[in-house]
Amino acid sequence: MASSCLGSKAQHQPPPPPRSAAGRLETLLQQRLAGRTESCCQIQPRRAIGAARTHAGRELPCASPAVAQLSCTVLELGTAASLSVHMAPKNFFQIILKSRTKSCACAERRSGSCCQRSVWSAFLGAILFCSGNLVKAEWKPREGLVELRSPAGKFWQTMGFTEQGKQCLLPEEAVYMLECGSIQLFYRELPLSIQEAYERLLSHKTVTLLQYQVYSHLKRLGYIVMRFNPCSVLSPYERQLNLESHHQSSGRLNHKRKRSSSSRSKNREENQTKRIPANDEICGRVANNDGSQSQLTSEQNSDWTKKESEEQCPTNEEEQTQDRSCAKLSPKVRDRPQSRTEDHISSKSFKTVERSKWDFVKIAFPNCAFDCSQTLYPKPYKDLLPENIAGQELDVSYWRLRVNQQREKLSRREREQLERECRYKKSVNADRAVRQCCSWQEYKQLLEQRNQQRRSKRPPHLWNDVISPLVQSEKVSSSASLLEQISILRSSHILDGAARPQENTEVMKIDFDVYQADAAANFKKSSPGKPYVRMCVRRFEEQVPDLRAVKQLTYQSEDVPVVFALVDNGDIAFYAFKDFKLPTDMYH
Amino acid sequence: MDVSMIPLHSPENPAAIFPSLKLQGPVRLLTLLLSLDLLEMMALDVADATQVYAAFLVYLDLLEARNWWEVTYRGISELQMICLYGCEREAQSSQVVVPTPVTVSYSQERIRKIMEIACKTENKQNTPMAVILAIVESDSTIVYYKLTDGFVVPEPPECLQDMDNKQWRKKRRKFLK
Amino acid sequence: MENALIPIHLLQGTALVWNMEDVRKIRQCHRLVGSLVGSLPRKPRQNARLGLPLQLLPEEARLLAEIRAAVLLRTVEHEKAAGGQDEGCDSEGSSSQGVEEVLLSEVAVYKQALNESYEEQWQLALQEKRSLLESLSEQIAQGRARRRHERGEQTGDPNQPANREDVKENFHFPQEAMMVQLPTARPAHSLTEVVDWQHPSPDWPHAGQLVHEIRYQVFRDLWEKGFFLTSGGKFGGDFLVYPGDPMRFHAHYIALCTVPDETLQLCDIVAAGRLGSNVKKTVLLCSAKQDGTVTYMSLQWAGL
Repeated sequence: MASSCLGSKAQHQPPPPPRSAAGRLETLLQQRLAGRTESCCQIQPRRAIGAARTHAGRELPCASPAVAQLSCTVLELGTAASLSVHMAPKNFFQIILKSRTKSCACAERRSGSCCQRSVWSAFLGAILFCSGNLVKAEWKPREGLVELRSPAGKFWQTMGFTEQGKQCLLPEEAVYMLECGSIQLFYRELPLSIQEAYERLLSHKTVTLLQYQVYSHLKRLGYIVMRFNPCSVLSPYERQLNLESHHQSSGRLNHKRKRSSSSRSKNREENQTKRIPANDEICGRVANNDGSQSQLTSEQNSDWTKKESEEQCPTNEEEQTQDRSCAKLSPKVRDRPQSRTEDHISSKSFKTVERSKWDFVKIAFPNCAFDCSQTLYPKPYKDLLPENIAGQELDVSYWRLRVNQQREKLSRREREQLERECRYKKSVNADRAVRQCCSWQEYKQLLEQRNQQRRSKRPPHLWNDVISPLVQSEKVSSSASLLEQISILRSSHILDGAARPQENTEVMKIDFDVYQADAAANFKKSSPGKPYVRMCVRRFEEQVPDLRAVKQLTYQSEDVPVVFALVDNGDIAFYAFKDFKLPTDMYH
Repeated sequence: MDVSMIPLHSPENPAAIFPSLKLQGPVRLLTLLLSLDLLEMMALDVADATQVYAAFLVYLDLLEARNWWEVTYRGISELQMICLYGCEREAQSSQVVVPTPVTVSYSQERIRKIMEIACKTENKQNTPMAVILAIVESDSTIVYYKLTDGFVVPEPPECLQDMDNKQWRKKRRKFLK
Repeated sequence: MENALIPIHLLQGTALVWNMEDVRKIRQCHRLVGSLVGSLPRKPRQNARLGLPLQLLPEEARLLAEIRAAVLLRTVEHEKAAGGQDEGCDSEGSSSQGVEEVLLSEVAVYKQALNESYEEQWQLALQEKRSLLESLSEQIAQGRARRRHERGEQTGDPNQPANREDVKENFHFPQEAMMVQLPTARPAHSLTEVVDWQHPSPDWPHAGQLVHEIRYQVFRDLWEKGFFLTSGGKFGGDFLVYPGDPMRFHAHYIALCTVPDETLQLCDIVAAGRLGSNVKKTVLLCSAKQDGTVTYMSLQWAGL
């Protein structure tokens, strides 16, 4: 059964007969070329011209997001040789019926060998290309990149970068393009074979063979793959400040810098060590700021406009000094051309201007209620108004007359609820002692006093000894908090403690950012946005990463999932750890 | 023999080792009867109490849950293990079952030795040596895996086409009804 | 040439074969599979079928070397090839004279070959065009006659033979239309060194490693029994064992290699057995002793 299936498949797609004009030309050509360049390559011609032509114009829509499982299975399907790429995966599986017993295999041998032949012929594809379709490029070993000699093709949308006005490709991009027959790679005036390109371009300094295999695997599936750049990942603090959009615009600069991977890793180390103290510093200051602000707001009175403008200036200054200190902290970061620190400063000052206009904490709204004696309100601060609207002083006494003062009519249900609240809930303000407190501090003192009193009433053998009740009754406000108190194992988040600098230098690192294929149409190299996943390339024989390594990778990658690509003798399998949060009952 | 001979808190008391085994109600009678087997097993000069208990649980499982025939047990002092022998069906030949707690780990050498010694008593020349490893979890779940010397060709996978045919036949039958 | 050793090129500890003929030989004569890892230039957008190079397992490479069917090669450092100079300087001054000359001559040869190829293709294209014109000559003549008729001319047909010469003079075959070839394997003249598989080196780190030795003994024994083997990572084992060519058979066994005295957790045995029974394969516990004897045990779910 299986054999007939395979056999018929092979018959369905016989090797295409050479087409009249182009076909003959090609055959002749190839015979000659084969005679001359034996040592260089192997040529077993078939429709090379057709291939070259279709290749140039074809974009195959075969990138499915469910790569992981599929690829493993499909790798086994050697027999699917004569299938066209357009065939759906479902059909693939109908053809993979393989025989299991030897006798069956014997019967199949004839058709099998025929099938095999077609496989071989497909492998022995001539690699002939129209020279006009090939982009010429040169390998520059010293810079570790490939410079294009003729204008780039369509691939420029998702690959390459511009350096000093020249179009360049990273080594892995160049090798992949060479394998695909999109560029012709030269070194010392001579064209490089794919083998030479592997040997020269792929190294521990640039991209290892292992990494390249994952890279090309993903590229073949249509994903957009970029090198991972740790600088492009925002720290939690930066994200809190909403620097995201700004970083995206500066992504291009990052992109340029990323080409040398050795300096890249150094940068990362610096970054990791510098970033943390710098952030702490800033956080501290901001906290101070907030404190002073809250004081100010409490003191604020009706002439708010003036106060506002006065207060703004010192804050601005402080912010700037803060930035300077940040810059001082990481001089090396600043030394880099157009580094992040500068972006940082510019974005910061930009942000402060924004904030001086619209800090809602400081904008006081006038009280127009009946119990307020003031009826004349000053002109609003100009900065708070849209440009074309002029503010004016206002006497609200007229408007006050028109305020609707009728009692709100409550529905029955609302009334019931109100009653219940009156009955069972007690306002804190009902307590005279509380009302006598004139500040939070006094109120807290009062609470503390009361706690003390309560404690003194407790039987001492139960509360003051080594053994005490599991639950402190005064701390329980809901059943959720009760459960929280009596839980022995506490769940932790994957990022807990991950920010700590690690002494362990033998760390795993993320290798690639992967973007989904369907985003290719509006993908911009300059601002790639958030990747779909980040890839960490490992050997299959290696140990499963421990929690520390996973934590660290998650920290590096922020909120983008990290996927491990395990390479087993050319087979690639993808695995990922998922953070799992136990569900909690919201209604407790 | 008197069941009360088993000291209540000793590790030999199954209820003490495995609390999930409940000695209550009507089960108790059966358990008492079987406890005699346990006592006998313990008397087999095998020092490892957990292995003895695992053997007992497997013995119970084979007799009561799997309905095996002619299940016997034998202490093998060379291995310090109790092995079980029995037939899956009435007319079939007997098989060797090696009970083991899940916590033990074996080297391949050890497994081979167990296989050789446990199968020595069985006088079968033509068939390759084989034992069934009965792995007992701490909650007394038992899984059975068969270890055979040499190569055993797996059963062929169901052919996709065959499956289609079956489904098609089923459909047709339904349709005809 | 039948007995020529197959060159296996080592790159970062990985064994690669770059010649399709060698790949075929490895598969058909030596029953070794390996896995193709390169892109197929015709179909660069899929992973179902891949092209050269063929990546061999370390065990496969060692076996081929041991039976003297292949030789492990490493590429001599490019810097050395360039006379100990930095790679970066593009044929300017600093590199030694001899290398320079070789390079220049190579470039000259390449350019000449390119020119010859162009000439040849030009000729071929011209022939193509001529035959095309010939086959269409009647139609052309008719068309011309009609046009002349419309214009009112009555002259005969003296231009026809001259037309052919026109073709040659006017024929333009652009450089861009020329077919060039992107070679896969390296030209033969670059420098390589034979690597000894018996001693560990940066290019061949596997030698002497316990895991590799055990795996190799098992691999070789199974291969000698007539099985085909591929790497078994996708089923959590060391190898997948096929009764025949993997193109036509499902794997029968998942081979797990262990050192004889290394202990196996029962949980792992259960996991392997469970996976094996799910995919209808037998798990093969393999171990090799110091003297090279390999023992096998089949692990299957007992179905109880």
